[in-house]
Parts: sequence; structure tokens; C-alpha cells
Amino acid sequence: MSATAKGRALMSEEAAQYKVPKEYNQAVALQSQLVRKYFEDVAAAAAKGKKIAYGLVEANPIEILRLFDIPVVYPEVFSLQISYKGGALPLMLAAENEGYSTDCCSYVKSGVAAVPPIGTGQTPLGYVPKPDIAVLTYSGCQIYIHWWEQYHYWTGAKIFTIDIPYVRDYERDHYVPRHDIRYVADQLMNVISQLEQLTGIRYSEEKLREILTYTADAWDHWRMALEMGKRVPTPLDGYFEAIYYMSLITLTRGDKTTADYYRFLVDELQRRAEAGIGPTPEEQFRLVFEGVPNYPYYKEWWSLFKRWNARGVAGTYPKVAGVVDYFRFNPDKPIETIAEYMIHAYCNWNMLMRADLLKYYVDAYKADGVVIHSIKSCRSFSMGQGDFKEYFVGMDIPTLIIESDHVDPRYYSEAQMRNRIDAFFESLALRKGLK
Amino acid sequence: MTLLEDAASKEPLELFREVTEDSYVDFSWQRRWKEETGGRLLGYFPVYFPEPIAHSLGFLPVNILGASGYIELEKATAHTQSFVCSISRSTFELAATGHLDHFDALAFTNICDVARNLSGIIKRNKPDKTVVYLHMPINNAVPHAKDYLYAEYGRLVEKLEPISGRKLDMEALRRSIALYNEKWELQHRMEQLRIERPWLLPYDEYYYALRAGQLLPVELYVEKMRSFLGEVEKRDRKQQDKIRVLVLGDFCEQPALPLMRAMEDAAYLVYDEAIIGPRWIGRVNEAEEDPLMALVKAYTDNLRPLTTRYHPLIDKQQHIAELVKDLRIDAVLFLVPKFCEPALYDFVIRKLALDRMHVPYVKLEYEESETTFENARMTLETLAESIIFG
Repeated sequence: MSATAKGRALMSEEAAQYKVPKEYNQAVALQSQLVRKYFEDVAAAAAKGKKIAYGLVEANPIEILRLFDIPVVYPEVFSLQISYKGGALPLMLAAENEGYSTDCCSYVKSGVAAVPPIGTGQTPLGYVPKPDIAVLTYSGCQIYIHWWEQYHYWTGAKIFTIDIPYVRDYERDHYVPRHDIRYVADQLMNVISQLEQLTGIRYSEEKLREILTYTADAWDHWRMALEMGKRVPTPLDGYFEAIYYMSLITLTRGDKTTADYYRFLVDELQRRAEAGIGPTPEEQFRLVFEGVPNYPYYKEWWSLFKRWNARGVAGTYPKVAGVVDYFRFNPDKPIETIAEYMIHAYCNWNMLMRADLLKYYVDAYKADGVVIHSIKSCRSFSMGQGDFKEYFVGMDIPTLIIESDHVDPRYYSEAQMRNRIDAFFESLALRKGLK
Repeated sequence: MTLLEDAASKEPLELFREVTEDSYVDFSWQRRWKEETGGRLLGYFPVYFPEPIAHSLGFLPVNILGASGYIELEKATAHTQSFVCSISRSTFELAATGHLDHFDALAFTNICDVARNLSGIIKRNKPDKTVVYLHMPINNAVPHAKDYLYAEYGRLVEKLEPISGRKLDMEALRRSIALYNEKWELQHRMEQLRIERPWLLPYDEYYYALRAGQLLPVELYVEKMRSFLGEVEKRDRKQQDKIRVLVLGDFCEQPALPLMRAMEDAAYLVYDEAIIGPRWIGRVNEAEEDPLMALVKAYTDNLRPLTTRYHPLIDKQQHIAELVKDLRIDAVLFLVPKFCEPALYDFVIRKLALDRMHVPYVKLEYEESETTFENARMTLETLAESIIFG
């Protein structure tokens, strides 16, 4: 146990094991219930012979697929859920047996190995159907293209492509050329006409506006929830808890239930703030997190921070499905707003903008430091995270880099992880005059 | 003697080798070219870049292909992750240590996530450098892709014009396209020579000749290449009893030349993907009314597979089947750069096709800086023997 000069424990196992009282933690339970229902609905639709689409978390145009009543499976989500439940290793080995390298993304490996012909579709989450169509939204991750190609060659799924240009002008901050928006919007109309042919359902702009109104509502409340991390102390963990909360904004956006869920979340966090309750017994350290989490040891990994009474005040990973701080949906311009949403996925922002966003979080959320979790699988996230560290250290912002993987359990070493994290907090404690 | 006079006096192969070796770290040839001609230098990362646009604006477009193990990775170790490819790390090191300072602009395209982020961190560390990132379209089957890429090339022109002080002139662009078409013809001729009579042209000579095309002014290169190929085609060398191997995967990071020589001891490497971009683009239509649109179409309408460019209409498995048949391939060597995900995924797609066709293959991983090749040589030798001796 590390102790302060005053004898108060800075680090404790009690804090590591702390759970938010149930009456202030209902949003997580409700989220689990709704996610379970989502998986059941997809499996039921597949059983009835409905066409199944595979979609990607970044830049998914769920509103359009909802319009055509197409159930969507997100392999990233089922891969992380399988990993969270401890079921990833057999899928890694099955994929590697088919020729996938240990250096391939473990989302791809578990995503491909879970469904036929490599797997059976039976997973710890229940039955996951294989794709009939695969909606490729190339935004922020080049591996999306290669992943979807794997599905195409293994299963024969038809790929519907939407190419989303990177936010790439290094001289003009946040600049998106008009030709980018026009290109994405044109492709969306092209996909819409393919979906009309596939389903026999006619496109209705009015209906799309209605769906987007629910989306905008959920999105605004999602932003309000995350911005509660600015409060001192913060009532939520803007990384570890936000990752639970983000499921529905990806999976079921565009309906009343989801919009209601985010209102409920904001309400609960407000109640927490009023009661002085947060994700740890007290708030000793405020951290900004960059990177994808470790799912196979999620709770153990989180506890390495909780034991120091450290709270994540903001994180970039909950913005992979859209930088909610920056972007707002406008239901009055349905196609254009979806196009802009697709462009503003976090990993589709260039590295200068990403570094600036992290710096903004440090300042606006009054953070003590930055934790970068660099995962081997995802070079879209990881390449250049060392550069972020150099950048922040140059500005005297304490920064820790730790490495593991988001799905593959073979890359996690708790002892090493604990040593690095403990050393970081020891130095933060000194810096804050807590020791 | 000026640089160009000196170059003119040299044997083609001597010049090709000299500029190649100079381009691992120094780029002193290009620096002198800039000093003597007053031209501008544009460095671009693999795989494909529309060179005629830069050329017509007064730039010498130069392919930055990593340091091939000739530079110590110090800054790159701090700024980039250990699990990314060597070409990205050494290119960062070159930039961070000032070896690319005399380039007036650096260009990158969306070949992979690593190259994309590399462009950003170079910009952050070299804020005064013009870094252009082109997002090349992947949805090339839709008509909007052409309009998009046309506008994107327009954005490139906007970035380059102020540096060179020249405005884009469509007739100048047309002339540049014609010159680069000549270059393409000659490289294509060399490619065909390797396919038909690989014993006439050893791999390292072929490689120097290819790479020099990405380093020298196109006018000089075309002249030297013509003379070089004329000499090679007259060679009288005997064919050896070797299997014919197709090499796939070396489209970006450069394998060490001793590795390729070791491979060539065991087999004829009749086709590979080294410096594939300028070969892949093919002949650009000089007769197109708008030469910028001609460059656009050469990209979007190109139905030859390229690992780093998705095209919805391409069937990669059918393509490898055709390559194996057309090039009379005995075995496929997947030569995959360590940590190169695009190559690793294409390997699975292509191996599934080869399995169905019962075509033998091996997969070897490499890094640009590696220095031991015995294992690789033995692997290919074993494969060759199993084919020859059944």
C-alpha cells in the first residue's frame, strides 16, 4: 500500500473493488439488457430468412439501413463482446490455422473465425449469422477494406462500398473540402438505390428525417453525458464507463428507445453528481485516455486505475463512432448530415487534429495526465501514439504509454501492466504533492 | 562537369546503381539537381503517385522508399510503435534527422493506416514542410469517383503551384504524361523480358533499373533505359534449370537486395511487385481532351489488382489464377514485409485460390534492414527441389 505523508492510503484494494451503488448504476444494466435484445433480434431475423448486413462501427449509416429494415451485425462489437467474455483465444487460433498472421488485427481474426465457413456462428453471445451483404464504410481504418474482402471471399457476401475521405489538410484545421461531402453523399444515394432493389422498399426522405430526429436527440444526450467528465469531481468514468454506454449509440441509434436511454443516462449521472457519487470512492487523479481498451481483461485492467482512485475524465475511444464534441446531426439535411457524420469519426481525423483533441481534453477536463493504451492490432490508432507522448511530454503533461491488445489475451501481462501504471501514479502523486 | 553531364557520361547500370544507393539515406544526387537546375523536389511515399502532375509544375518527383537498413532508428523508436513496418519507421527517421529537408514537399496516399499516420507525425515534427496527403478513391466503380479524384488532383495542384511558382498548364501536363508513358513503355519492356528470358537480366540489375526510374529526371532516365535495355536484349546467356516463381507482397517496403539474390539462386523470379505503382498505372491516354482527367481515369478505371487500392470490380482470386497460367508459374512466393497488414490479408485471399488450383506456395516475412538470408534461401530451394524432382 502506498501512503501519503498524512498517512492516508493513496492506493487500496478496497478502491479497486469499489462498485457504484446500484441505484446510481442502472444505465449499465439497462444497456446490457438492450444489447442482449439487439443480438436476439438479429438472430431471430436471420432465423426468419431476412437478409443480414454486416456493418462497421466507424461511420456506420445505421439510419439508412434502418429505413430499409435491414438487421445489422457489427463484427467489431461481437468480437469485443466475445473477448470480454473470455472466448477470444480459440478464435485467434482458428484464424491463424487458416493463414492469418499473429500480426493481423484480432478483430478481423475473431470476426472471420466466428462465422462459417471457419466457425459455426455459435458464440458465447449466442448465434451470430454470417453476412448477406457487407456495408463497407471506409472511414479511419484501412483494415476495414481488407476485413470486408475476407468476408466476401469466404462467404460470398456482396460488398456495398462507401469511401469516406480522410480529414487530411494539414494547413487548414478541420477543413473538409466540398468535394469530399459531395462524394460521400453521392455514394450514399448509390447505396440507397441498391438497397431499394434488394428490399423492394422505396426510399423516403421524410422517414429518414424522422429517424435522424431520434438520432440527433440520442447524440445530444450522449454528448451531455460525456461532458459531465468536466465536473470536478466527475460523476462518470469518461473512458471505462463510457465504453459501456457507447454500445447503443452505435448499435441501435435512430429509434425512441435509444434516445430515451441517453436521456436516462444523463439523468442518472446528474443524480450521481448531486449525491457526490462517482466511479471510485473518491477522485484522486483525473486522466484522459487515448486508445482502444483491453477487452479480455477489462475489469482487471480497470481496477489497476481504480485502486489509485483514478477516474477517466475523457477518452478518444468513445468517439470512434463520431467525434461527438465536434459534430451535430442535422435532420433537415439528412444525406449531407450522414455524410458529415461519417467523415468525423475519430480515426478519420488526421494526427494533428487527434493530438489537439487530446490536448483540449487535458485542458477542458482538468486532467492530471494522459494514458495511451497502444494495442498491437490497431495501427490506425497506434501508429504515432509515441509521437503523441513526445508532444505531451514536451508540454509538461505527464503521459503513460502501455501496450497490449483489445481482443487477443496473449498480449496482456498483468504484472508488467501493474508496474508501469503504479510507477506512473507514484510520479503523479509526487507532482500533485500527495506524497 | 555538371550533374547531368556527369550522368550522361556514365554507363546506364552504373548510374542506376549509384542513384539507388544514394537514395537509401542521402539523396545527394537530387540535392545537386535542385542546386544546379533551380527545380523543386517532391518526395513521395509508395505505392503510386501521379508523377506527371508534379513534373509539369517543375518538380522532380522522387520515390522515398525507406532507408533499407542504412540508418539507425533512434527518433523513430520514440515516435512510432515497435509493431509497425520498417519502411515507415526509417522514413520517419530520415525526415526527423533532416535527410529529407531539401525536399520542398512530401506526399502520401491512403495505402495503409501506418503510411497515413506517418504523414501526420512528419508534419507535426516538421511543421514548415509541405506535407500533402491524397485520399485516393476506393469506390472506383461509381461515376462520382472520377469527379472526386479530379478535385483531389486539383487540391494537389493548389498545394504545389505556390512552391514552384508555376501554374498548371494543360499542354505542359500533356507533355509530361507523354514522357512518363515512355518511361512506362520501357519498364514494361523490361518486365516482359524478365517474364520471357529472366536469365538475361539478374534481379539486382532489374531492381536498380526500376528504382532509378523513381529517382532520376524522366528525360534522362528514358534515354539511359533505352540504351540499357538494348544492351540487355543482346546478351547471350544460357537458361538454367530453375522453376518459375511469382513474387507477391513486396509492393511497398523494399526487400534487401541480398535476399532477392539468394532467392534468385533457387528460382527465376519472373514477376514481382517491386516499385509496382508506376508499372501498375499503365499507359495514360495522351489523346484525352483533359490530361488531368486522363490521369484520373488511368487510376479509377484500372482493373489490375493492387493490394493497396481496393476496387469493387476486381476479383483477386481470378487474377492470381490468370497470372499463374499466363506467366507459366511453377510456384508462388509470398514475400511479406513484417507487420504489413495489407499484404497479410491478401495472402489469405490468394492462398485460398492457389489451394484450389494445387499451386505450391511459400510465405516468407522480411524487413528492409535484415542481414541474414540463409533460411529464406533454403526454404525456396526446398520448394524448388520438390517441384523439379517431384
